[in-house]
Amino acid sequence: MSAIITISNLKKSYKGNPDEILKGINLEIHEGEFFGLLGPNAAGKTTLLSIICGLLSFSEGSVMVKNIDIGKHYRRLNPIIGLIPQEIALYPTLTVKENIAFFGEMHGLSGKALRDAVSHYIEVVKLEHHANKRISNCSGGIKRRANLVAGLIHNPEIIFLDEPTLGVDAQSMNLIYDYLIHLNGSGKTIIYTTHYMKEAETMCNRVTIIDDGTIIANGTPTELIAANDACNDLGQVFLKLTGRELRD
Amino acid sequence: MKQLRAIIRKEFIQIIRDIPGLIILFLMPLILIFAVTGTQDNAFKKLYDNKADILFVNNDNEYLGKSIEDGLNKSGYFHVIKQIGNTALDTTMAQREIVAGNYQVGIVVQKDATQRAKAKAIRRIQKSFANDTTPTSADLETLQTDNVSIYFDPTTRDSYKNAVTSSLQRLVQSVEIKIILNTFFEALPAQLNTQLQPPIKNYLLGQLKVMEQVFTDELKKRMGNNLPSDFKIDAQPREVKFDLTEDLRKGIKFNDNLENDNLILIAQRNAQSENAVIKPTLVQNNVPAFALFAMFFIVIPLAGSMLTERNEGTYNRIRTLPVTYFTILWGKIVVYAAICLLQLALMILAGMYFLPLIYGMTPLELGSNHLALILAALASAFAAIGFGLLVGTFASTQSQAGIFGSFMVLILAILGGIFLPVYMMPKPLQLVSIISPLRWGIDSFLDIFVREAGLKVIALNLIRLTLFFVVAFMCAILTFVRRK
Repeated sequence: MSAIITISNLKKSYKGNPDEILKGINLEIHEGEFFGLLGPNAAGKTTLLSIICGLLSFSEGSVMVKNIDIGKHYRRLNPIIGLIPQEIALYPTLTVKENIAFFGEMHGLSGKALRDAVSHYIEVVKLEHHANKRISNCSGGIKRRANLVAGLIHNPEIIFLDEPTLGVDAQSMNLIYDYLIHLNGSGKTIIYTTHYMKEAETMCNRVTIIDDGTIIANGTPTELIAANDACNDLGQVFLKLTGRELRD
Repeated sequence: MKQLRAIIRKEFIQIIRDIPGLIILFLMPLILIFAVTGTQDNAFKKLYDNKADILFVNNDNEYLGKSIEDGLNKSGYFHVIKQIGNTALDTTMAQREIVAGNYQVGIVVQKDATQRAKAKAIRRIQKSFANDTTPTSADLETLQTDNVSIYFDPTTRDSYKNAVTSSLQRLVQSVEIKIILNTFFEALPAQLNTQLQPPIKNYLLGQLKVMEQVFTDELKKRMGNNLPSDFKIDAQPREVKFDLTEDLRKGIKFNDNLENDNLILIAQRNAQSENAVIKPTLVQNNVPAFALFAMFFIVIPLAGSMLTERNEGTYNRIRTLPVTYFTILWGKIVVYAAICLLQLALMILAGMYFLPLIYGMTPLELGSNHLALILAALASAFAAIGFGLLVGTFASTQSQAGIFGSFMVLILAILGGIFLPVYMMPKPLQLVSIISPLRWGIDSFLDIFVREAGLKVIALNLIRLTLFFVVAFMCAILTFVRRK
């Protein structure tokens, strides 16, 4: 598999704070991979994800996504990526359907193509009965599912998911897993961050554990478990590598 | 274009579903204009149209007391109350009623006020004839005692106090003149014999001689040869009978209606251009002021919408969309500009129909410069949106934007002269008011609505309003780009 994302010596620090959030990250993500980006709080996951999506600038290094230099032409990336942020990035006073349609229109969909896409995605995440409910009146699970498809309506090649199952019930979580596995199966590259290790172990082809702005482990879940003595799952590997100290 | 349409639709849906926001945008300014205009109108009416209740205690019961009472009744401004229930008012009771807040004003004419006024008049006449004017201590007491007292409720506004006091002063002045005249005529015969007669006599004789000469010269000039050469006016003066006192007494009768018979009439007129047909009224002044005030309150929903996007994740998602922030902002601008124009239209309707209907005021007139009106409306709407964009860009939280935005609108409105005309402000505030976009807008509308000005006159303010929007818009775009 060829690399769809190539990150070289990536460094990031914020103005007024000399500490680097990312300290020279080197990483390749391959086309069609279900890639897990793991790490404790404040490790730099969301910063790394934001840089790859073109939302944040970086101090040093380079990021190439599908041969597009993000440092220079990040806007060229917009049509091919789909971002599902941690927050419910929807308009509360708009209905589920109106929200999904709006993001579809922003990606250039219109007319029948838009209507078909909206119906399709509403059906996929089983929101038919809630399509006309305002987001502000929906449950957490419905919001999460709507949030997911709002980032997918334009059928992007690369999908960034930042803790997409945060705070949802088992049923919604299961539906999201199934659909993501289906998407990955259809050739989409998925970059996924989560705090649920079981989730990452089950779904991801490969994971990278990042801590204090540095990659501390990289490989398939099986490889990582095998490489760490006395660890039977990814959760144990994670704790072994990042320690048991609380992170704020 | 499709994206812009979608953004406009999204913004429109968001706005119409935000009921509290709609109340702030449309109902609040309407309530405000009804409340403020109604209050101002009532305050003016209270001063000049409606009869104000006034307690009146007449301890004098002579000419002065009676004249003041008659004057108050005839003035048409006051409803004179001399008794409450069946009890006749005295000074203590009147004070008690005013302190209790039941009445705002009371007038007490003191005992022997007429006599004291006469005594003062006599002293003044004596003074003018250079008689000995050194007053005795008893005279001094008479001269320094108040004749009339006005009592006010402590909560009464100064403007109302001044209006009542000046009305009473005008009344008292006319009574005072009558007392002086009366006293003067009574004193005149004695003075004439001793001092006045010889100087007046000599003066009049001199005038007669001058007149004879002037008359003879004029006749000669006009008649020329037709005038007999021996023509001569008898320069010998006839006996002039000086019964001036009697003549004056016969000729100048004391007339009670004299106070309304002013020698010099003052007419209140508005400085307007020759072609002006609009009369400046409270409605003409208040509608543009409160329309601007309402338009600038767009800051709350607009900044709120920007901050919701920024703080709740949609901002990040928007930034990954293949659409420019320029387009996203324009989607907002189009919708909020439409709302501002709708607000203005609503305020104009209120001025044209609702205010006249409810308060019976003269309806708002829009003037004849419709193009200037449209441009002023657009420029003001865009300036209001510019202010919203600035607050939405630089505030961090919704509450920050809400509190800062509303306070700033209030401050800019005060500086803009919405509650008190700019010319009544202290000089430093007048200077600061020049930077208030609300003032630029209000001035433009006042120029159109009240002075019937054209585009040329409002051009500078239109440029200021537009530039303010452009700068605010650029700030929003640049900040978006820099936030990366």
